[in-house]
Amino acid sequence: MRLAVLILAAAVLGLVGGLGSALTLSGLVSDRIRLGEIVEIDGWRSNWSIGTEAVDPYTKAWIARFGLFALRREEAVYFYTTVDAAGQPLDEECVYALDVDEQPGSWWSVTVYDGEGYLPKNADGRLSFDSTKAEDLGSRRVVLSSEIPEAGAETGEDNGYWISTRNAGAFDVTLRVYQPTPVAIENPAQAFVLPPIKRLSCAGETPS
Amino acid sequence: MRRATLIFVAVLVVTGLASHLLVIRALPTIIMNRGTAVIADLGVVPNQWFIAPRITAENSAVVRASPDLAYAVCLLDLTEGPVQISAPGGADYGSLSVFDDDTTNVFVRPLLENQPVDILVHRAGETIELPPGATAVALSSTRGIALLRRLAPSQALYEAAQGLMDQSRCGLR
Repeated sequence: MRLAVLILAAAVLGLVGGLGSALTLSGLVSDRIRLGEIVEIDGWRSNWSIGTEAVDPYTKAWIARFGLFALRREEAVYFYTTVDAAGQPLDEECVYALDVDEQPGSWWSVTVYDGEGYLPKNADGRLSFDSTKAEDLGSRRVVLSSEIPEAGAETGEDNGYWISTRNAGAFDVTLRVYQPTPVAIENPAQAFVLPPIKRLSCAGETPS
Repeated sequence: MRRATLIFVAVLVVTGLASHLLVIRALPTIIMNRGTAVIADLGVVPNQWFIAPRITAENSAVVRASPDLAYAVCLLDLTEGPVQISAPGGADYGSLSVFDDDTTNVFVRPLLENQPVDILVHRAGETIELPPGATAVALSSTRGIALLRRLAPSQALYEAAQGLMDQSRCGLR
């Protein structure tokens, strides 16, 4: 009887340990673990393994969790950051600006996602900024703010440069570059110039 | 006592390792199943293109959807044979991609102007008759997903992308 209880206890502990370690190592418990071919440029991060046939099951599980339906790097690359240029977490209580350089690909876009990876739940209709908008406005400056910036304060009377962070909480910014050049895929650190996200002000602070 | 300790450790190690490996290998398929279930809940019928509404904060069904793109999705079911997929090229950015049931992006091709893409998706190892001009894409199981992405940062471009769906096909061969 005592042996049976011991075996049962060992089996339960083993199952819990196996499940917990699998979920942790694959990044489902925390996104602090990062697997695959990580590319880091000026605070932005990408995973060059997304979409590929992963070499090990851990990387494959990680990619499934963080890159579901994402394209392989030959078609698109995805850079994201959760912090501003000073290394502080991005927060909807603050206003930020970034100037996106021309990217080595056929088209780029900047999008804000909330902590769960979804678009911020607001009705502002300002979810992203892309290279076609930049061309129309003649400017690649993007402002991230939970409130509508003053019309004409930056470029364009219609505030086309604005991405609303209303209801985003602690958010991240994703920069997509579609059809990157082969040279950019080979030497990302040299080919991609990724913008620092400058904090302009925060609620309760005097604007700098 | 020593025998009991050995048995305890042996059972702990074996169940721990077995459950760890089982879970880690099953995770991609579980995640894919959840993703396709969310899409199926939108009323998507297998082996037919479903044109997704323009992405907004309210209707975004999957994480990290791009509001600048028009999406069309085809849930692949190969139980009755290969599925043929075609899509015309366009003036703006677009791509056709196929994912297998453990999330690997097994095929992607840009949709360039005047360069339509035509593929035949089949089970690996299955004998197929490839239509002229088509590319064979093998899946390791009977299920997968095809996605069309087209540049659509404005309502006008979204409607233009929708207009191209008349010339697009996803169906049994």
